[in-house]
Amino acid sequence: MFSIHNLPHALPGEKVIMILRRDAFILFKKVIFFIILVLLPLPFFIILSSFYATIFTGAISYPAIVLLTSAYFLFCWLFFFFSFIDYYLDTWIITNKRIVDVRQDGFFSRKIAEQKLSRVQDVSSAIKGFFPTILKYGDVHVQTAAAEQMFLFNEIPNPDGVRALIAKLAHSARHPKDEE
Amino acid sequence: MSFPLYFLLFAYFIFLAVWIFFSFVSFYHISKFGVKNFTMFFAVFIYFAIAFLIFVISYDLIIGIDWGVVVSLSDGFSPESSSNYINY
Repeated sequence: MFSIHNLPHALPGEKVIMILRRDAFILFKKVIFFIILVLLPLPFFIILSSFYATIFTGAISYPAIVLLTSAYFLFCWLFFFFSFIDYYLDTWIITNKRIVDVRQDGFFSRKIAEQKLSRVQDVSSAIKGFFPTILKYGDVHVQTAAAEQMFLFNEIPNPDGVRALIAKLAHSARHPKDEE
Repeated sequence: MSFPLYFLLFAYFIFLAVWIFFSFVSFYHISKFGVKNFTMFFAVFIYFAIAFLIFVISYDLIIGIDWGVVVSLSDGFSPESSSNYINY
């Protein structure tokens, strides 16, 4: 486990300016989807009990239903837990020297990329869609001079503010004398 | 063709093994890459607490079942021994 305020391979004089995750609405959507998944068997059980009332007392059907339902809820719970981990571990860290992109892709894939702010060439933000416009979340694209040219901050809150911050920090990193 | 009812339990245990494996993979990700704070501790605690609750409820519901019943596939999944219905 690492503390985000003690960055691994921190550069001398490096300070964390901002830690970003996707907007809380993205997590809210996952919660809603989980609630729907949990409630899904309910109408199924109501229909079954009205047409085949004995199915919940049968010597074979009853244990089969209990085990299937238990497995279903355990699966839903694991699915939701991993969705939360996926949300929580996908982090973008902006320091006064670099930007770090930490990404969890599925169960067995993890990607960490970093880029010095002095190599940032262009920053743009985009808000597309109904909910992003209402709730003010969107994407920030960071173009760098490195081989892997694009940094994408997905569905983050206040993308315009983040764009302005990165542009300002990149300018400061390229022209340190301007700041003195 | 027939099979004993406890075969269903075996299938459930296989599922449980896979579930436990993926739960520990998730736990590994959190412990290795997560941030040391209350949110993560709380998330892990809630995850295992709810999972434990599901196990306890499931166990409570299946404790009285006669797993020795033989299921006959040729006779529409009807039990060949023991009582046809469970009284609760």
